[in-house]
Amino acid sequence: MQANRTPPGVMPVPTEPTKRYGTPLGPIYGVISSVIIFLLVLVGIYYVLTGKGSRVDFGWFFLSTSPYMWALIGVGLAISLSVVGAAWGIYTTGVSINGGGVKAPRIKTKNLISIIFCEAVAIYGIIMAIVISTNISDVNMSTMTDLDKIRENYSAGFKMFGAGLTVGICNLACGICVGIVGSGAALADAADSTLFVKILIIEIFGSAIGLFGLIIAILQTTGASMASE
Amino acid sequence: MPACYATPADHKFLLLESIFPVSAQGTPALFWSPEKPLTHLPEISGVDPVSANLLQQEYLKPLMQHSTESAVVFLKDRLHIDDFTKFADVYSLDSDGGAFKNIKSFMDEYFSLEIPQVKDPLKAVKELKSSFVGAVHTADSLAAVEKLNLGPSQKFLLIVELSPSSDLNDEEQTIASNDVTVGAVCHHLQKRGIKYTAMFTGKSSSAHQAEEFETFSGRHLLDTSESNIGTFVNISGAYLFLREVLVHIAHKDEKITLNLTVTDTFADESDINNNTALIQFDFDGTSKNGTGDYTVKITFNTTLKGDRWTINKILLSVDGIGEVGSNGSLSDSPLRTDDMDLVIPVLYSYHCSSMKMYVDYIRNKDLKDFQGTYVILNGLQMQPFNVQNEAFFNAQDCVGFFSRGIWMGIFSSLILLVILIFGVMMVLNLSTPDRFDDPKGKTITIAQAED
Repeated sequence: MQANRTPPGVMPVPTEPTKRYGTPLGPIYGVISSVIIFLLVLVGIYYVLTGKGSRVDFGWFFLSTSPYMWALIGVGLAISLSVVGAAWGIYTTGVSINGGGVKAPRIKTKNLISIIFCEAVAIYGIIMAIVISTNISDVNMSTMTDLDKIRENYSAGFKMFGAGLTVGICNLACGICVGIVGSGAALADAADSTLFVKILIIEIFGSAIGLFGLIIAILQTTGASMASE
Repeated sequence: MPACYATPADHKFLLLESIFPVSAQGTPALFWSPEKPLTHLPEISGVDPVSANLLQQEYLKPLMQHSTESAVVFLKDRLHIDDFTKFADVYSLDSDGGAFKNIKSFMDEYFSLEIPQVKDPLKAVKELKSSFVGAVHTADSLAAVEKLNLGPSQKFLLIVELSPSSDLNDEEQTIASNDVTVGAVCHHLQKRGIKYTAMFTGKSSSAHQAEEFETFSGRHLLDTSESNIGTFVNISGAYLFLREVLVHIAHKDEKITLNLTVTDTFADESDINNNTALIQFDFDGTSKNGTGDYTVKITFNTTLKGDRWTINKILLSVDGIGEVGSNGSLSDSPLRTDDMDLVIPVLYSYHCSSMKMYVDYIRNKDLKDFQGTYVILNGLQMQPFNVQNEAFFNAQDCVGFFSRGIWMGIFSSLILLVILIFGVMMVLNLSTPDRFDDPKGKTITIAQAED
C-alpha cells in the first residue's frame, strides 16, 4: 500500500481502488512469472545436463541477427521512451496545475515552465532519433567479403541500439522526475508564491540529467556508419 | 453485375500470384485460342512446377500437334511470375493489364488457360518443333510474320521470338513492346482468317532471383527423405556417412547436372591426423543426359583445437568440363559456407540432412563464369576426431532449433510485449472515485425533463 502523503487536516483519499472486482492481480502475476521462470530453468538444465551447453550461443545470436534490427530498435527506443517520460511528467504536473489553479489562479502561467521542461525531454528524444537514424543506410551484407567492413556494420548496429537505449531511459527518468517536482512546485506555489523560484532550481537539476543522456548518446552514435564495399 | 466487382477474368492474373509462391524454377505459360475451347486439358493444382515432358504430353500435343488449327508460340527470353505482379496492374479493379494489355485481352476474350510454373518450356517447344507435322516458321517481329505470307489452308507452327531487354533498360518498356508485337501478330493472323492456338511463355525464368536464392541456406520447406540407406566408412578412425551427392554446374549458359554414385571407397583419399584432417570425397559420374565423364572431388579442411573442431574450408573440383585452365575450370574452388556454423564441440559429430553449397564467386572473381554452380550433400554425418565407443556421438546439426529470423522476431516481440504489459498494468491501476458508493443505498434516478 502507498504511503499516506496527505497533509494534516485534509481528508485522505484512497490512491488505489478500494473495492476489488474479479480475480486479484497479485497471485496471477506470481503464477505467470513462475511458470515462465520454470520453463526457462527447465530448458537451461536440459542443455547443461546433456552437454549441449555450447549450443546456447549468444555470440551466434548477435552475429546472425541483422544489425538493422538493433539499429532500428535503438531509434524506436530513443523516441518512444523519451516520449513516455515526457508524457508522464506532463500529466503529473498538469494535473496539479489544474487542481491548484482552481483556488489560486495566479499559478497558471508561471508553472507552465515545468511543462516546458518536460516537453524538452521529448524534443531531446526526437533529435536523437533523427541523428541516430541518419547513420542507417542500405547495405547488402550477403555479398560483402571484407571482414573489417562487415564488423563495422555490426558495430554500427549495436552502437545505434546503445545510443537509443541510453537516451531513452535517461529521458524517461528525467521526465518522471521533472514531472513530480513540477507537480510539487505547482502546489507549493499555490500555497505560498515566494517558494516558486527556489523550487525551480530543483527542476533545473532534474532537467540536466536528461541532457547527460543526450550527450552520451551522441558520443555513442558518432562513428557508427554502415558502409558497403 | 455491378460495376464495382472485378470480372472473373481479371482474377486470372491475380490468381497466378496469390496462390502460387515464388520459386526460382518456373516460368509461367499462357495459352489462348479464339475458336477451340481449352477445358478438356488437365487442371493445374499444387505448387510443383510442371515439367517439360508433362507440358509436351498433356498440353502441347493435343493443342498444337494433333489439332487441325495452326499454332503460334511466343517466346520471351525471360519470364517470371513477378513480371505479372509488377507490370500487369493486377491490383486495381478495372485494370486493362498494364504492360500486358493485349495478352490480357486475349486471355479474357478467347478460350484461355494458364500454367503458373513450367520447369523448362524451351525444351518442350524444341520437341514440338522437331515433331510438328507441317510447316515450321520462326519470326522475330510483325514484319517478318507478314513476309511469311501465311494462309488458312495449311497448318503451320509459328515461333515468334520476342526481343530481349538488352537494348531497353526498362523492363516494363520491353514487356510493353513485346505485348504490342503479340497483339499485332495475332490481329494479323485473324485478318487472314487463320485459326490458331497461341502460347506465351519464356525461355527461362528471371535471372535476378538466383542471387538471393544462393545466399540462403538452412531451412527448407520440404521434408527430407526418411531412408537411412547410405554409405558408412571408417578412415583411420574418422567416421563418415553420406547418403547421396548431387552436383549442378552452371557454366555460362550451359547447365550440367551430374549423376554421381557414392561408392564404398569414396573417402579413401582422406588424410586424418590427430589435430587436422583433410577429408576428401571422390565421385565419378556422367552428366544427366549421358555426355561426358566427370570426376568430382570435395575436400573438407578440418582442424581440432581445444574444445572444438572446425570445418575451415570446403573445396570443390570437377574434371571434365570443356575448357581447361585457371579461368575455365573448377579446381579447388571454395564453396560458400557463410551462413553455416561449422565450429563443432570436440566430441560431437556434424550432421546435415541436405547441405547445399554454392560456389563462392563473390570472393573469387575468376569463378564468375560458374555462378550458380552448387553441390548438395544429402544425409552427411562426419566425425573426424575423438570417436569414442565406436559410434557417432551426438550431432551438431546444420539446422538450429530456431532460425535467425525466429530469434529476431522473438526479440522484437518481447520488447513490444513488455510495453503492452506495462500499459495494461497502468490501466488496471486506475481508480474511480468510490468514496461515497453505498451498495445498500438507493440507486439514483434522474428525472426526465418533459419535452
